[in-house]
Amino acid sequence: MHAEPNYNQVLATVCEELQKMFPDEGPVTANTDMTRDIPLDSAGTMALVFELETKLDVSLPLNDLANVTRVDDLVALILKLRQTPLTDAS
Amino acid sequence: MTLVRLLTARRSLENYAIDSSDPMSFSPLGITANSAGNHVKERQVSQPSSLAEALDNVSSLDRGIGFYGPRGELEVRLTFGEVRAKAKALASRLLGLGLKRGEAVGIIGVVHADFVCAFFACQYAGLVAVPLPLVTGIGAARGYQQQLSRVLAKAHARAALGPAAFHDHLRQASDGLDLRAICSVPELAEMPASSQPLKPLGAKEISHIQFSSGSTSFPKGIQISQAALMANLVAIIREGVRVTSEDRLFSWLPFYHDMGLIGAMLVPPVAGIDADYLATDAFVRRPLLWPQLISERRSTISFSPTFGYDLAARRAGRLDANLDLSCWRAAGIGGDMIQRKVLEQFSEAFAPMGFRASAFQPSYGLAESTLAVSFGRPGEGVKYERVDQAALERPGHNVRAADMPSSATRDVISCGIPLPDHVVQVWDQNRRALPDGYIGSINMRGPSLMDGYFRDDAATRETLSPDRWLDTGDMGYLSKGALFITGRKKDMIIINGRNVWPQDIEWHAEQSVPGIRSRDTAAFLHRDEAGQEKAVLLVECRLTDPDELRTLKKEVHAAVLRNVGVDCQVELVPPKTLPFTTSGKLMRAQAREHWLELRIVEKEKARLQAPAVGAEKDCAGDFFGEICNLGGAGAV
Repeated sequence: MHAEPNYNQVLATVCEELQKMFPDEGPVTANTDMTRDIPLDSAGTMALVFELETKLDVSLPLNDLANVTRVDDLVALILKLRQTPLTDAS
Repeated sequence: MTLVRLLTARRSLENYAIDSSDPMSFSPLGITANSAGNHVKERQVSQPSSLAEALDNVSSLDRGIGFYGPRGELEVRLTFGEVRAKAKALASRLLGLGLKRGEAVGIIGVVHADFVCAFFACQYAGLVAVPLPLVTGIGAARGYQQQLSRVLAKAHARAALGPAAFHDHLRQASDGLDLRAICSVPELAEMPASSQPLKPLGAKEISHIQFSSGSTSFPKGIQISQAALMANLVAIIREGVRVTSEDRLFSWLPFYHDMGLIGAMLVPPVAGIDADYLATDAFVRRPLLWPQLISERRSTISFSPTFGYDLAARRAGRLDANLDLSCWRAAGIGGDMIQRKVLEQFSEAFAPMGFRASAFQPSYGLAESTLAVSFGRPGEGVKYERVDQAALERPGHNVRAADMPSSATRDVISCGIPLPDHVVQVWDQNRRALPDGYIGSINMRGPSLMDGYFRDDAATRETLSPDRWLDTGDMGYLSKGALFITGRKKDMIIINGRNVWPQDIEWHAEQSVPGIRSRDTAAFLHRDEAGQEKAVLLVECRLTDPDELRTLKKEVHAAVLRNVGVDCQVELVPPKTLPFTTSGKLMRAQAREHWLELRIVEKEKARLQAPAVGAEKDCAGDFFGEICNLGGAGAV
């Protein structure tokens, strides 16, 4: 097993992906509110989730994303999920 | 009794009779695979009169359902006999909760074996299943809970079932409602059973209530009877898709949607065929699991809206496995406007793997008619007509009229022939049937129609006439018996294959942002010069301060994004600009026209006044156009 990524590494990956999707939206940071500061719609969310799952080897249930608004909430969720084994996708 | 039923069954089978020389023309409907040519014997088996009876009929077959996980691995497989046993055990537990006959049970529509068992449990217990939607994404919790709450309240639900991850949403949603239980299916299975004998929902009762059709802010429950359900299922199996006992189905469509529930979940047990399923969000993230699993499972039937084919085609380049899709004989399309180009891209991408374009099977349907209304003939692929673009926008006109100034044409896809016993007519504004080729509103009648909207007589009267003609709300024309859809429901906004009601966008803007009142907003779909489609929301606004304007736009955009999951372009307009009818109905199409005209004027003005527009944008006093388009993400 490779080393677990830390908070800063996950944050950098999330910010990088969002920045790629919204190059005109100003810098994406831990404090960016994904429901207000960037126009991330449901299709965009799916694309983001796909990229993050591939890059970070994690399965992000949509249900958990419902309670996420800021980038650092998402980072915290990813770190939490990486510590728990995969269950079902629903 | 048996004889009478047999005779009735024979007679009803005659109604569905198709060319008996066609080896595909029989349906198993609860019969094990037989040698070809033994049709007469098979045709004597009665058509089930209820869903519980249908499952009883197939429970001894070595057939069933399998569920695949997010990485394409098999998670659960159940025979229909096992589904039935589990459903009956759960039914006794539901009665153990003290639920009374005919009461509603909400079930989160995850693509999972637990949903199937819980849905059939309601059938055996005499309870009415209400499939519930899934949550849509980032920051959506609150909007989702409100949506669940409205559905549970409208259905008078007495219990709600779903995976543990949904319990918090369900608890929040049921605050103030009278629910006996919120639990998962495994939890329900551990509860005490009632000693009451099971009395399944019978031929003259309701089957379920479908909430997928109306808007999420003002949900309408479509009440489907057992008779309508069985009529539609049998017509789909015998005539629409011509299912044989050799077929096997594959689906990732959500079970709360009519296409997933009726077409994907209920067709297999009623036809007695095997089926495999993939969770919807697993498909959306890894669309290639769809063709991969079809190849692996040798599936023959799989339906999707156009956008599903689009997702898979876009990712096709990443495919490294060697697939064999020659088994896929019915690649059905339904649920959104069929786009020929997308289908061509899909078949081009997958033809090297044995996919045949002739397998495409367009269809048309709506939840108010249980699910399906018409199908293209199996194996014939996509058929279309090239018609005059201008005529398409003029109801009451013939699309083939020679006097049209035919500068532009559009290809309209045939949605096939209406199912037997289902009558489709195209009407003008005075409800007069129009001849072949004339555009009008599509109306239909037949045995699959809903009883009506659940406890909503006013809405029912608007859609179903006293002599039970259903106004589909769609526009189109008939040509040699085939149905061509030219426009979906009035005002409907379709984004990424998802139907979004403008009312939902407007309502959430009005609810979430202080200072915006009811009737201050109008939402519609706009296709820009580049062909990009986007939801536009006009908001009447009394503010003039540039900072306040900018904040308001941002707030409205965020409220819609969070609650409806749509990235809409917010445009502020002066007070009293939105057009209403004399009876007070918002005229969205006209609002759109006004906006487009003003946009052109503003663009022109901007061009003349500021020939060298720099990066600095000026908001003051300018309500229209892209000048302070904070919501648009540079899309315009």
